[in-house]
Amino acid sequence: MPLLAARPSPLRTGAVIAALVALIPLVAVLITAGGQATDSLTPETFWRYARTSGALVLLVGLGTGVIGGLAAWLVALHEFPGRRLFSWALVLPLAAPAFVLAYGYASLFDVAGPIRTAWRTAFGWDPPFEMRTLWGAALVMTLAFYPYVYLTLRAALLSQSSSLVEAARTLGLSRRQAFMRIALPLARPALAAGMALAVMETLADYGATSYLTVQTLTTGVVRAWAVFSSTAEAARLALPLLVAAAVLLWVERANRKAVGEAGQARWRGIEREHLGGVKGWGAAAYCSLLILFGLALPLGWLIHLGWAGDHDIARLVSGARNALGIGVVAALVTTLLATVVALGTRHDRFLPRLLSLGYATPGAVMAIGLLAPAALIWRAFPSTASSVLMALTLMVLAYAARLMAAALEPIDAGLQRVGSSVGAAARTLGEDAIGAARRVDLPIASGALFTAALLVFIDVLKELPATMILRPFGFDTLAVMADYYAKDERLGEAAWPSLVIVLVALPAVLWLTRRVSHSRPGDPT
Amino acid sequence: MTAAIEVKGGVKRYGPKTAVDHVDLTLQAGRITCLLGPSGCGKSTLLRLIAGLESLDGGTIEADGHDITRLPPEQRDIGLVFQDYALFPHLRVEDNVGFGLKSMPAAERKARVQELLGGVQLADRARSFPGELSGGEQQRVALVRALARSPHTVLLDEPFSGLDSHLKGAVRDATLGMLRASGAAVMLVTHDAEEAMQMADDLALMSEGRILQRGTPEDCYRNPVSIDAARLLGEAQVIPALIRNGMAETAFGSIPAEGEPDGQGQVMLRADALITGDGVPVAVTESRFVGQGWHTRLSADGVSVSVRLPDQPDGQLQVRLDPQRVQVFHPS
Repeated sequence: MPLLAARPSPLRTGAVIAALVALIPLVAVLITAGGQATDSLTPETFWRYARTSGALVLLVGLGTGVIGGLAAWLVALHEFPGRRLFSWALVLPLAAPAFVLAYGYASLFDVAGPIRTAWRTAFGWDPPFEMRTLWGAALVMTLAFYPYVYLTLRAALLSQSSSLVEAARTLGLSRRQAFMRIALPLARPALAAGMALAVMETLADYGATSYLTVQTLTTGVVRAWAVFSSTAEAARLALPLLVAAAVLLWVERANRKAVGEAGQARWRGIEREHLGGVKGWGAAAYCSLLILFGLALPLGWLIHLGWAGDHDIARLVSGARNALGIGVVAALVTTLLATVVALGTRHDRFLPRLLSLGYATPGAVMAIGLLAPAALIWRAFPSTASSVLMALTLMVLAYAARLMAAALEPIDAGLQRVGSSVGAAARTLGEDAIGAARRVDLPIASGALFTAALLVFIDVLKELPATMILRPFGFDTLAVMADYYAKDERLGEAAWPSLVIVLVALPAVLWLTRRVSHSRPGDPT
Repeated sequence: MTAAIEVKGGVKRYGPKTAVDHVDLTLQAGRITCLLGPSGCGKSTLLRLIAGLESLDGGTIEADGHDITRLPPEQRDIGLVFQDYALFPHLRVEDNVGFGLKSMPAAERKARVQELLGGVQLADRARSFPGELSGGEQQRVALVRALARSPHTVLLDEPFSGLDSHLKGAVRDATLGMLRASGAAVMLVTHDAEEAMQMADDLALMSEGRILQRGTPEDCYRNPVSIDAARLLGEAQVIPALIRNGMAETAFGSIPAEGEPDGQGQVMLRADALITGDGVPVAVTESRFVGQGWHTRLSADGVSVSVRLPDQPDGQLQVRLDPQRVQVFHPS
């Protein structure tokens, strides 16, 4: 029931203004795409980029679906040695940006790298696998993004009430049959939603693909801007990415809705099947390998490289300071905007849906979309603000535009748990809409606000393309430093900022996962 | 006496559905009005409209003669006890109760909160959080929180539905006492006919967005305006009747139907409407002991009814209708 829908509320107005922040760059991309072209983009190039992006999406989608899906199935429905540990450890690769894995694997599989050298010594011939290819990029991103599928599918399987499978068993189905005919169909929307998230990240990636010399639409956007200084071309390359974002978003939303409706009443957890002997150890080995390849191996190799290589502590400290500073500011601004949107749109899904489009949009595209409005402001008020402050503001706006939807999700969930009646109670006790939000809704949802801020912070820390495009001259973040050194083939130096990112993100990811996985249907709230 | 709250022609629509359909309702200061209706009949919507949590699509709401139709809830001076109590989980009991008293000086507020909590035997739970209280205690906190600002009107939305049945009676009595002492106009929304009749000074029967009948509980029970209204207050059975010369003839005997035109009609009767003794012979098809009597199914002339009899009936039984406990209707 819409609360006071007939009266214009200050919260509602605030929500619309906050949402505009996310929508302006998207509209600007469309307008910019119609601008003057410089002929450097031929149709052939365009289609080559598009084909590569398409192939990458397909491979990573399937890869994460299989690898992450299997992991979720094992952990959620089986008991085996180390299951409790794996259930959260399998999420850890989320702490490492894809480009960090790319550095590690490219170096490991280098001609002079340890794997090829060992292989040649053992077999006398060169291994056929090359990392700087489409297949290599797909492997790296599959390892980096499988946790999205793992998390959504595991949550879906855990939230299914055991009574459904039990009913199927009493109707004559075996355990396997019950899984295939009941549990899996019920969890299929979650699988699709997780894969959609993994694919969104794949399309957004710039650091890993560009380092592995794979040319996608996203690297094309950055290239058009950096090499050809053509925002119009960058924007044109961004158009199919925007369409893809909209499609993926639709897939993710449509499927997520179905997830929520499965098996709600009388929730009781599924009893796990005990995997004994070889099977149990096989499951444990599988999970260990995922963590090994998804995090430990590439990270370990980077530690080794970093230890051996040079490092510039002063630059590292300044990069870390910049990254943490902009991360904190972006987290605060984005959480604030998302809170305003959440409070103003509690019974209306339209604005949040528009914001989600921002989330599905690659950072590079968002940055291109901000350049045009920024230029307008620049021309209108040339001397009012320092260029550094302007650029920093643009960065924060780009992050906010992209991540507002991500922040909105926990805040919305938190407010929904609060329920609408406490807010209404505050109103009947003499508080106006803003007072009720300040004294009741927000204090109760404070945990959700922190979760939202942390989510944004991690994403900003790992973000590369938008930062590259919008940052003020000389403003290096950890990700930008890593990219710069890596492209310069100084992996020993690239390793340090990479490792600092992972080190900061790791505890945050861990905390977030534990928090999310501890809230289940049937838990007292 | 002016009405504390007067709803005139209140209309609320959700899309094609009219949740509240031209409702007139008056709440008097110092009187308890129970709004009784099945779930989904619009009674909670009507309550939210009066509280200002929803806005009317048509009609007006007045408080003491002033139009408050467009006033936001915080300016209406109406207390509301929510069905789920809506206690603020992050605030202690004392801060919940004192929530609406922020304009009061701290010392005065503290005293008022203590007085209110003392009144419901919860003085020792002032420092607790709502989650630490039992259901009955939460209900009392919700009640005194709504009363804290001494509102001219108090609305209660199914206030006892969350309680165990063995608690209900005691909590109901205590609530009734608090409400009477407050002198406010009270409206209590419920779907429980027994509860409504126990609490109400005035009863309003609601169905499908409309108020069917208003009156005292006894009046509504004894003289329902329609079969729908009758059914809201308990099991009501309908048997066919033939109305002739001011008498309604049924399979279970005749009763006076003065002023009713001749023709086909219906007679509504409740479980206590049949008197055994002289009358029409009936067949007993089933009889079960249910504590307060014998729940018995009787049939005559192919018409069957369920009644409650004080003693176990034997096979042969004669009954007649108690004219005080039946109602004659014309089919619409």
